[in-house]
Amino acid sequence: MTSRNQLVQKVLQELQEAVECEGLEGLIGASLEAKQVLSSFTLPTCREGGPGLQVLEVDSVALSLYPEDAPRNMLPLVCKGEGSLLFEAASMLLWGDAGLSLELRARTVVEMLLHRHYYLQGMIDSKVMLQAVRYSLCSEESPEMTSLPPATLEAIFDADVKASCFPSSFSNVWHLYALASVLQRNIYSIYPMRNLKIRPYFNRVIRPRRCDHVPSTLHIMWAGQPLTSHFFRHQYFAPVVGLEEVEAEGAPGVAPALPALAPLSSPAKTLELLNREPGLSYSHLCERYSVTKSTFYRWRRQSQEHRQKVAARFSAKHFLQDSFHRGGVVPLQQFLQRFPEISRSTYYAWKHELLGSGTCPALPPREVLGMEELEKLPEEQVAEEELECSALAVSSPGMVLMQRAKLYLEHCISLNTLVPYRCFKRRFPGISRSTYYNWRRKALRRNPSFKPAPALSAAGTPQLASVGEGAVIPWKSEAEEGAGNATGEDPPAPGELLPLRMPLSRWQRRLRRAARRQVLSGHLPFCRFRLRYPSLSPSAFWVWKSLARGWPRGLSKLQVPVPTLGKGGQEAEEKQEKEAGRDVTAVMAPPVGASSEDVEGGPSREGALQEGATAQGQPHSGPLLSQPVVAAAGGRDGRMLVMDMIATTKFKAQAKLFLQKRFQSKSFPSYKEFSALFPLTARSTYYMWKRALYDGLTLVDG
Amino acid sequence: MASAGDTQAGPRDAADQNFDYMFKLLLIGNSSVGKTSFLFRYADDSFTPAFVSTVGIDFKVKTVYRHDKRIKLQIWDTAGQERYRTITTAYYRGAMGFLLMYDIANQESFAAVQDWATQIKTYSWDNAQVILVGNKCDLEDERVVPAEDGRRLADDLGFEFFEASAKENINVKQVFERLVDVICEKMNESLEPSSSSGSNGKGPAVGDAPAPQPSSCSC
Repeated sequence: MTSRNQLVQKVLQELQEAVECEGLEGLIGASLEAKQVLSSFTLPTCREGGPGLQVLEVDSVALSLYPEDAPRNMLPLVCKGEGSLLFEAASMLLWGDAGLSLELRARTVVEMLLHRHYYLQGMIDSKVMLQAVRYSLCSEESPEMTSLPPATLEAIFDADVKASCFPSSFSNVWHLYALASVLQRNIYSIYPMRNLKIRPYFNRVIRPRRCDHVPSTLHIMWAGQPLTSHFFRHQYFAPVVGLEEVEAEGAPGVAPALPALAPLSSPAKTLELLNREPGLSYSHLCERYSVTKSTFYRWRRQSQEHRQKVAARFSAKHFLQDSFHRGGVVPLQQFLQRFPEISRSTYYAWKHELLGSGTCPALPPREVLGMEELEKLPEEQVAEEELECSALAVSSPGMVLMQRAKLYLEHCISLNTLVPYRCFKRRFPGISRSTYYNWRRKALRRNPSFKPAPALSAAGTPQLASVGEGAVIPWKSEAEEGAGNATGEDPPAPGELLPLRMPLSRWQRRLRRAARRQVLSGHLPFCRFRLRYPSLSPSAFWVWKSLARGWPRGLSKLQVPVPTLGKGGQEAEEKQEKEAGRDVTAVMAPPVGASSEDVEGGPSREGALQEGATAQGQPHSGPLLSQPVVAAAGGRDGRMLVMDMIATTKFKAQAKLFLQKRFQSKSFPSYKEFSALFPLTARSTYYMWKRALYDGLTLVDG
Repeated sequence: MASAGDTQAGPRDAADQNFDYMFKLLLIGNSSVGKTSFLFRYADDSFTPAFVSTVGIDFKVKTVYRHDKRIKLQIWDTAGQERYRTITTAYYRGAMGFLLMYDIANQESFAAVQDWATQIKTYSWDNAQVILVGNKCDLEDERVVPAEDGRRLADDLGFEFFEASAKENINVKQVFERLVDVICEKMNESLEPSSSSGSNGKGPAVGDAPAPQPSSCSC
């Protein structure tokens, strides 16, 4: 403070010396230098370690002049000093004493000199100020005052500014305007209910020249010597404070109190202090901050209410966390009954947060529970799984999908139908291979009933079971040998197929049957065969492929329209059969009777009949059985024709007819599929025919 | 207690300032009696024959040394025309000394002295000191107001009296020096019996400068 006061004193001395020069040029130059000095420090926002409580005296003379239309519950106070006491009053209001009056004086002089144009010819508010300046020099409105020339006003302004460089000067209305700009606050100028003709110019709120925030308001009153009941002579300004600041409201004489208006940053500091020290008392606080007693108690009450609210929220969240850790999230209705002050959105936000963070640590307990489940009854397992499913359903759709995939896999294994990863991936593309195998391993461990299937197979053929993988290779070679024999003779083919089917497990046999059916129908290319049935050997595909290839050639040789229609119907039936087979593979369990009969074996024709009854259950089973025989016979003749007439037109016509019928049935084949059936047709020919069909042309008449 | 506070504030302020006291003085009187020329002669030691009417109000500052004390004089020059009367009277407050001037060659200006004296009593404080000055004493051939008339009027009003000439620089410095001395004497007198005077805002009773030590002025 000492250095601050010395700087202010130095500034004022330089201004005073400039006043002694002629004209305003020197004074304006000194003001520019003063502005640089004063801008190096700002007005303090809070009294710093000043004297303690001061005895504030109510100004009884000013109180007798206090108008009725001024703010209620406020009192004018006495200021010590000389002159009109404007800067002493402002310092008292802001910092509790007149210690900064000199600095306010210096800053106001600089403001008036550097913005002289604004205060003399400024905006409409300044024009009102100029009118007030005229009338502040007298007690009554007069024509002379109204018609004062601008030169006179300028002379008065310059004289007033120069005089303000010295202490004990007298301030005019434009000093109030400049002070409002220096403090960046509104000044409520309170004028006694006297000199009524000129009162409207003085009793008003004076705003800063420019302000970038909503300013608070100081109250300063015009006071002086009452003359009559209608007039008074202005002599000085009095600071006006709220009545709440004066502890002894009934005593107009002497009462210890602090000024009303707290600095802008002080409220935040005090409120923060209250939050950190709830037991803080007013007596400890008032010496450090300029805060009113009522404000202090209001903040303390707000601070207590805030702490209670925070404690309630903390206990509610803690309760929710405990219930989550105990194994279940409390429903919304139950939670709201216990904590009605918590909003629904807050409950869901906390719940989402808990479920999100609780997923990872929940895995180890689940593994532990998984081990325990091995010893429990199936009903209990199902019940627990349902609970887990409902719990996880709340968290996220991704979790729901994973849970559904896992349940599906476990269900298939419990039905003795192991789903390969490629099939499983097609149904649930979001599950990784490692997750699939982890779940499968757990499901197999959890489902002991799945193991008897290999045991049963082993019982049927003990030698193959003991060999293990070696058993598969001999059967593959035997299958190839069977294929070679089939090309030579009709009777040995069924004989060879029969022992091939007997030793395999039921689901493998069913899988081979479905694959063979698809290859024979000619709708399954080799690449898709490999993808769909990875466990089957490629040689099986080519064996069946040769049989299928012979079939269309045989039909073409007959050249009968009725077989063509029959072929279309056959394709539709095969599609339905394919879909039904897939569903059976996924969901249904085969009858025990059928399984036992397959194990026993029997004539090939009888086996075929039984298969048809079990798989299809359709009225066309009879014609279906007769066609394979015809196909087999036609196959051999077709192959001879192909070797003899490799470039015949009929072969190309067959390919065209195939594409045209597929186009009409809205299921045009890809080139891969087409080349599998007609490998001798070039790719360019395929695309040429495709383009013709899509352009609306027909390849084959019929 | 208030007096003690004033006493403490006074010396500190004086120590911080580059002067010991500041006296506010006013020059009043009819238009064209020579108020502005009188001020310029004393402050700048210059004289302009051409007359330029003062526009409203202005003041000059001059620091003088009197009895080992630095006294800064704030000398206000006012417009004497009737239409500025309400303006100039507003600046009477806080003035410690007045120079009431008339022109010895202008009977009307001498006749108005009584009205100006009434204004001083109305708008200034009781402690203000006044010196009656008859200016333009160098115009002996055009004199219309005898010196005896001026002295008698001053005695009746309780004022000091001087005849002076701004043009010829007669008695200009003496007038101001006398006014300063009279103000110092009055300050010393007022301090002794009423050291417990109230706040400045209390009214006409308060008109003193910052309270100096009783022994500070030996005049």
